[in-house]
Amino acid sequence: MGRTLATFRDLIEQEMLNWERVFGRALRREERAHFEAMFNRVRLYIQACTYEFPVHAMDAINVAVGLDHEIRLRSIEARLGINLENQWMDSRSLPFPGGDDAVAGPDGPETPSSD
Amino acid sequence: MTLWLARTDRKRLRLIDPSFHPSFYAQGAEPHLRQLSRVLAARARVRCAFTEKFNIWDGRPIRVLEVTVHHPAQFAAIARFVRRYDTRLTLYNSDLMLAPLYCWEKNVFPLARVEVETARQDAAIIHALECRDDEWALDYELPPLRTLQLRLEGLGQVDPQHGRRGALEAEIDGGQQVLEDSDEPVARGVERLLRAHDPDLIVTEWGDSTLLPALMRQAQQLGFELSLNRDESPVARSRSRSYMSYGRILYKGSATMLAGRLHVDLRNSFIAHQCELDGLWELVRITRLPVQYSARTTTGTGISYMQMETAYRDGTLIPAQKAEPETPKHPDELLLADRGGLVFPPRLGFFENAAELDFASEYPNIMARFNVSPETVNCRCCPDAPRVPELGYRVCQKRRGITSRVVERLIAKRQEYKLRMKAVAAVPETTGQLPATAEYSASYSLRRSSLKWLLVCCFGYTGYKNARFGKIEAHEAINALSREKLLVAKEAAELKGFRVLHALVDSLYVERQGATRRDYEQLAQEIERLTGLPLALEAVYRYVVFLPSRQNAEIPVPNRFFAVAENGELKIRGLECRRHDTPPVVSRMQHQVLEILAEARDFESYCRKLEEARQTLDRYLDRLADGSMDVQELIISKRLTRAPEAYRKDTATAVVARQLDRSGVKLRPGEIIGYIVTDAGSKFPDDRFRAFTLWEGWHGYDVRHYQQALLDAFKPFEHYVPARAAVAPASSRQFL
Repeated sequence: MGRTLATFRDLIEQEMLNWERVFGRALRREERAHFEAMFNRVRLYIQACTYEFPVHAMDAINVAVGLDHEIRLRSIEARLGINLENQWMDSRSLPFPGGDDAVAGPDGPETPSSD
Repeated sequence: MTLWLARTDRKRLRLIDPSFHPSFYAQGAEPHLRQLSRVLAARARVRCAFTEKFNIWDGRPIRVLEVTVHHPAQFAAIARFVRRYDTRLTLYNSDLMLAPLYCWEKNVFPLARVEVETARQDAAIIHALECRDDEWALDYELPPLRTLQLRLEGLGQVDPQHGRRGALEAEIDGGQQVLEDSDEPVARGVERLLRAHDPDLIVTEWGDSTLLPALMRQAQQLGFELSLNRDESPVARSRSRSYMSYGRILYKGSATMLAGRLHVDLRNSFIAHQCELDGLWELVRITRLPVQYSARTTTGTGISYMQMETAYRDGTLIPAQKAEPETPKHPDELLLADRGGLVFPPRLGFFENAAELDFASEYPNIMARFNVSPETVNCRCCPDAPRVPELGYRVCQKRRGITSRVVERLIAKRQEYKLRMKAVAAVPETTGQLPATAEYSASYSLRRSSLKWLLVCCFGYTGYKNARFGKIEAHEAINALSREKLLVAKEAAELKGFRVLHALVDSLYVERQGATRRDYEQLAQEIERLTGLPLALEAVYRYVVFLPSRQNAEIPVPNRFFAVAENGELKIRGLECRRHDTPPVVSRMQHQVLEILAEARDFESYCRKLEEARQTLDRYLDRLADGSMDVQELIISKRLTRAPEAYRKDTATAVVARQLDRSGVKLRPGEIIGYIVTDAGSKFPDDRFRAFTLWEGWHGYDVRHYQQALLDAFKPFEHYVPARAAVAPASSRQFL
């Protein structure tokens, strides 16, 4: 609408296309879908990106992606009734030796969550 | 200057005011001005004199040559001559319209009640003119206008130039008649009406581009002159044009303006379309622009002329075109400054008991309260003035801005009308006065909305490249202040335990479990106190449904939601029924479904009502299938973005534009065309769609296509229903 600058939404799109060309080409097909989803979800925090409007759009996009992961991780924790933070801070080895069950077994976490 | 007066008896007068001598001003080196004054005196009847007037940007007096033109008709020509004669001179007030200039000088306005004294010898010459009216009055009497309405039978929104046929309908003094070619030519019928009733106002649909020109042509062929004008002058017509605005190509039809009578084409008048004639009258009175001009122009012209009037009364010079260039900025500054309002994408989901808080006329209020006006931002006189957040711009502390003063009065008048409306609504129904008061209330609401359009433009014009009173820094400062205020409002809401569901520039949607209307009202007062801007609790909603983007179900988009207020009133944004290109059948279905859903109070009853709504949908699907649907319900309207031959792909618009073009219809970019989908899957593009005006019964319509459109339009209503049913009710209210 008669603007000199691109909106942040346009910038997210541009950055995604930029990164898709080389970075994206070397991704596996099943990874590509997540790559796009990651950029799309930045739009959830677009007001903060617009308000900050850094010289390099990627700076704000990186923060938004990190924030999005943080929020979703916390909500997964809440739903599962665990607190991973305690476990990572714990210097002892994890309750399970690895694999997909490392985060939370079917019966919930071994160590009780703090809250 | 010619004036047309409607006397309190039925007489109409054409009067001449010989006392009007408009002036413009030239600034430059003294010898150049003296030379100019000599040259002018030798060529035309002008009076030149040196005088002092104020510069708009710094408020300082400057010495200018005042050129007063004896005869108003020469004003434009002499100004043009001066511009060419010496390009070193700067001209002020030189490109103004004469009618408003006359109004400023004589303190009158169109449709005002006036008292006139005529010269004794010649009754048509005005001796003295006195205004007995006030344009800021809330209750005013309009001149007793006799109105003739002319329109074609059938669908009003289809341009008759696209091949629509229909008999001419005329309505005057409450009597309606159909003028048909059979017994007498239509032009003769219209002439008869004009002579018998002598209307003051002709209201038409498509009169500008089609009806009046066609009537005049027919009259000419029959060898008589249609007496559309009250005097002998020929009817003035302007040409149509296509133009770009905000990246869209638009079309402006030609205009047919009359002398001694008013012609308003409802299909070629933004303001009459939005706010009806009541809104137009209000606009004309306060902007002092001629009725026929106002009806056809944007409200931006109105606000510009109000600003110019304020400047004129201050003795401030009005620059010819926008003279103030953008101050150079570092790229970092531009990044900070060139931003609009803040938009918080909505939380997706179905929310009960949420409230909407709106800053009332936020941008105009910012201009009024913080004195933001093109000439007050970064003025030279106040280096220590407080700074605008984020940008650090200064706002003048010494002078009150022109824009601020204009919007202040507009805001106040709108507010007064609102109070009147409330008072009218409070009149108990039993007094028996309701019909009259209800009428007032409708009129107040229309006048209010025409004032709103003036205010809306006012902000936009500060950033418009052609605006005389434009300055991009003012535009940026207003935006920065609006962002600041929205964040303050968000913080205040969160501090009180409310959750911000959605925020859009000047409105906030908040929610707190168990919050009452009183709680929301208190929050509104708190925000008002903190921001210094008026904020109103627009509505408390039984429920709000925020919908995701059509492309991606995870991503919220602003402006795609619907909500039902406590009193059952609906608020709809971004659904198909709000779009211009949606066929009426789809809009109608959505509206009906929403009416049903509006009866729900919470999610549970919503689910029940949805079942009821599905039956409505089914009825529509059946009617499409059995062919009992009226074809007018299926018209899809699109705007042409280019000339018919310039389309490369066979889109619907391209196919239909070519069909019309082939049948001899001259289409211009920006025009709107209507079509029916006949067979979307056909191999031949031409069989897929048919222009509505060329459509005939045997073309049929594509049942599957329209059924799919209905089904798609129903999806938003069931978006959260399966998801909610699947998971536990209490914790699943958020969809991140």
